[in-house]
Amino acid sequence: MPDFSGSTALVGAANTEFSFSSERSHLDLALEAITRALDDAGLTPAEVDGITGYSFDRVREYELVGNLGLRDLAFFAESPYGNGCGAVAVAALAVATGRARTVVAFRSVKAPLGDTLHFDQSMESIAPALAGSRVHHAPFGLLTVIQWAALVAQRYVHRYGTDPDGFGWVTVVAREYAAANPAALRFDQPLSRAQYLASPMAATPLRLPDGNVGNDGASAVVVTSADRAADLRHRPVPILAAGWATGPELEVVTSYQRRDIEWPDETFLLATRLYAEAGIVADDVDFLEVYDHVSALALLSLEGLGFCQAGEAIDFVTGGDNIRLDGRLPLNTHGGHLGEAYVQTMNHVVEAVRQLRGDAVNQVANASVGLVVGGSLAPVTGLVLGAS
Amino acid sequence: MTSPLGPRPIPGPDDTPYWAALERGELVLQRCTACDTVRHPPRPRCGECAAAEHHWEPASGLGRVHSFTIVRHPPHPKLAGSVPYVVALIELDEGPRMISNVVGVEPDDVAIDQRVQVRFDQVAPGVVLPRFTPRGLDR
Repeated sequence: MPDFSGSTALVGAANTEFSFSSERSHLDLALEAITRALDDAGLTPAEVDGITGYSFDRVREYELVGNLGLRDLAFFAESPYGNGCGAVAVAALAVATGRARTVVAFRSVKAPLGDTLHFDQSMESIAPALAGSRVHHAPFGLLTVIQWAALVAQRYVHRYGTDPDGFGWVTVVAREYAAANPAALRFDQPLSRAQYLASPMAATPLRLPDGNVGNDGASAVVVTSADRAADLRHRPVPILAAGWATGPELEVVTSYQRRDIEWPDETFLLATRLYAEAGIVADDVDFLEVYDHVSALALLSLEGLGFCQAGEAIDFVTGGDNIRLDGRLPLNTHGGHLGEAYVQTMNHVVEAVRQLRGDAVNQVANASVGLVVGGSLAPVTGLVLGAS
Repeated sequence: MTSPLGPRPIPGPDDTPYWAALERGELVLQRCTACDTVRHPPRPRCGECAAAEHHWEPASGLGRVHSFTIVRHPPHPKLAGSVPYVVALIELDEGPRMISNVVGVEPDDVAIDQRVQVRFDQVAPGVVLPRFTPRGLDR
């Protein structure tokens, strides 16, 4: 493959304020995140010649062209669904291949996330065109991501004989990070282990705090070439690797025809590609920001990414020490989707940029390699980011 | 007629024969004509060999619980009165897995590897869903 690693960098990153109800449009939120990210980079909208987003996003590229006063886009693309680092990965490819010079990647969300539920909100009917096999799931009351993941989690507990309450350690630690992050929706609202164990079940073995309920907000980052990045406001964050993977027989979380529904094959394949391109091994990763819309999905990612063996992720997170700031793998240091906000991995990318610049709220000491990864059990994308 | 726990399925080009068979009280699966692999949910091509040619054949209606969840929090306001209910991933004896409900049993008595058999529940005019009961119960 042509040399890609380190040829592009993240030079700006920003979130809007997060809330459960902003009374603002998707477009307005997106514009604020984008202009803040450009300000952060020391760039103006006039310098943007590429935009990437997600197919689930309500905001279209042409709306951004008009509202940002752009003259022309030399590159635009939407990454499938709403999950992961795909928009950033595509932006980096566009810059690396000279399609565009300054590309903004964004995601804008509002609660409830009807665009991720795949069924008519009136519950009257579901058509097959909405999302493949959902029409064979939804009539049985299998409607939401935490339920989809619960079936996998139950099988995981059965197969490995692990503690069904173990998934919740991801949740408890995410809430610790969020409690110390003033921008987080769950700022100053820690959830103790005892409170977690007393919280209601959503879909066994997962409890209500194991999933998030959606929120309003937007996040954006700016990608440009490594050469140009050196002249901008902040220390650039080089993109050391960008990757995609699916594995076989994949759906979006409901990959139930796979032989082992509890093994994130796609994430394993992604990690293999990312580590090879960046020239690293899992042990070199200083922190991980991974899609955690549901705690159990983040837990499976730890196995696919090689931080522990199959069946050992609950042991790895039990007690929380391994995933706290001074642990082996600080995990979702802003509070993740479970604690900061649900912007479908884009706020994870923003957090990774801050960590690698050294100005995160919950700073990992001497962070020099960060991994950002979308959700397991779905078409997955990821980034390895460095420090300069 | 029992009520569905979710939206009513609208048959599409890939699965109309499946829903039509359910209406007759039959659970059918696609079998690949080229490599003999049985598949579900219905789709245009075989997951093993990618062949399009297939035929529909009746399933035994027997299987086991591969995994399940007891839904305790209603995922939609309309289901506030329906919880708790069991959503299960049933591994059919023919091989493929399907999402369904396990009914006719207390949720806490459902277990992985439990043997189950299909029953046909009409949930709306012209709409029959395949649900499962533990073997030997509530035929």
